[in-house]
Amino acid sequence: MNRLNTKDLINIGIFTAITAIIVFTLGIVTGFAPVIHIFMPSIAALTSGVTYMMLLTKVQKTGVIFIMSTILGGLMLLIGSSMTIMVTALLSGIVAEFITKSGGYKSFKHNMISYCVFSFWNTGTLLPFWIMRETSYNSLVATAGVEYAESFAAVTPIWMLPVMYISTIIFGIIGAKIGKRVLHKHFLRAGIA
Amino acid sequence: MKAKIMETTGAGLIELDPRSKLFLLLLGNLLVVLSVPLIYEYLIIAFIGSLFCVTGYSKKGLWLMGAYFSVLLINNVVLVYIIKFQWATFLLGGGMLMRKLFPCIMLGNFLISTTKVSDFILAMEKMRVPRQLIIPFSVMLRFFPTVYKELGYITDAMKLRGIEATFKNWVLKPIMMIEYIFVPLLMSAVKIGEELSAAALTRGLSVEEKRSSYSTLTYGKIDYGVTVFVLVLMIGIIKYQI
Repeated sequence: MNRLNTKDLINIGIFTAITAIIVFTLGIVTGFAPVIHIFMPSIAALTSGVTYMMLLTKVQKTGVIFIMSTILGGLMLLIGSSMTIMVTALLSGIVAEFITKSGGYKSFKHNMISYCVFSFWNTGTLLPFWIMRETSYNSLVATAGVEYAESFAAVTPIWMLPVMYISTIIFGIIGAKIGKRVLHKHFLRAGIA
Repeated sequence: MKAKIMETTGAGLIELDPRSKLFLLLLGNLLVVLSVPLIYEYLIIAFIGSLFCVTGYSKKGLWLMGAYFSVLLINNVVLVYIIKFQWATFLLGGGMLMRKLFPCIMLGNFLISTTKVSDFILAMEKMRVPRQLIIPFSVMLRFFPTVYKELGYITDAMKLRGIEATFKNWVLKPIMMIEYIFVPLLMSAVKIGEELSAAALTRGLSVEEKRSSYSTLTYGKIDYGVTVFVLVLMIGIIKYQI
């Protein structure tokens, strides 16, 4: 098993940066409307596919996905999300690592599944609304007023939780396929990826 | 010429250790989750703005404080009228959220623009963060402003060809946007990655070897002062909740 050297770590940093920018922009844009905010992980899954596939093509070693999800979770923590995001980030990173490894880093099917699992890191911000309903409602009232908290409570009935995850998986599949197409069409032909 | 993460306007009066800046970021984090009386929020924003000015980035500090004022303006003036429309009430919540996030945004900006990359790496090493996390994290911080610049260049170049990167285009013709804006961005990212790796290896930044550093990071009197001040603030905020 090869260890990650400086070149790999730099690549991880760069692609994580691009992913972070996309996700944060989406977060700010969708943060206004609670209805859309529930699907933020799904939209993020749709758009981060290209960078993920690219990173996996460039660095085919253990630890890449884990570092990526840890850094993304840490960033969200610094911006002010609850602790659950670190848990989801670490967990999804570890599971995604195992999935890619079992496919030998070359199987697209495995990479696609690992991408869907990886996309769960984003759900950590929304998870408290089902798990710790009371506390998150109160903190939302303190942060953004009663109307916002009410509209959030209205769009998070218990059946929304699996819907959010399933839609993340579906959008993740689409995102991974988009990533593969973009990779093939532009980068592999140019010999860069 | 040591490269800072973003371009600087000059030397300031004091220098803060990166660890104090990270501690300040924790304060911003706390402010998002817990609520504080308005007067203290204004005071804290003014304090952060003065931090910018004191370390030599007055232009940036004043610009950020101006942005905060415009957020306040939108919240208290514009949105009051929007309440008349039933469907737009959630915008009020969004505006409040923006106001709450502002200390965090300012502090993050403070961290990124006033820290040299090597100092930041040294601070993380002193905190015993593993190499595998330090390098990607500092590359990321260094890369954020570069991405914005590159994106600017790419959109300019595309304008010459008649392809505009407007919001409408992103929604209606996403494929074209991906092909003409996102793919060039990724290509330049790959190139930058290769150049960065060569530069880093030349500077001896490897995973196994211990680094020697020209600048020594000491936690000076000002850093202790700032840390204590932030601690007092945090205790005050938590006490206020009870």
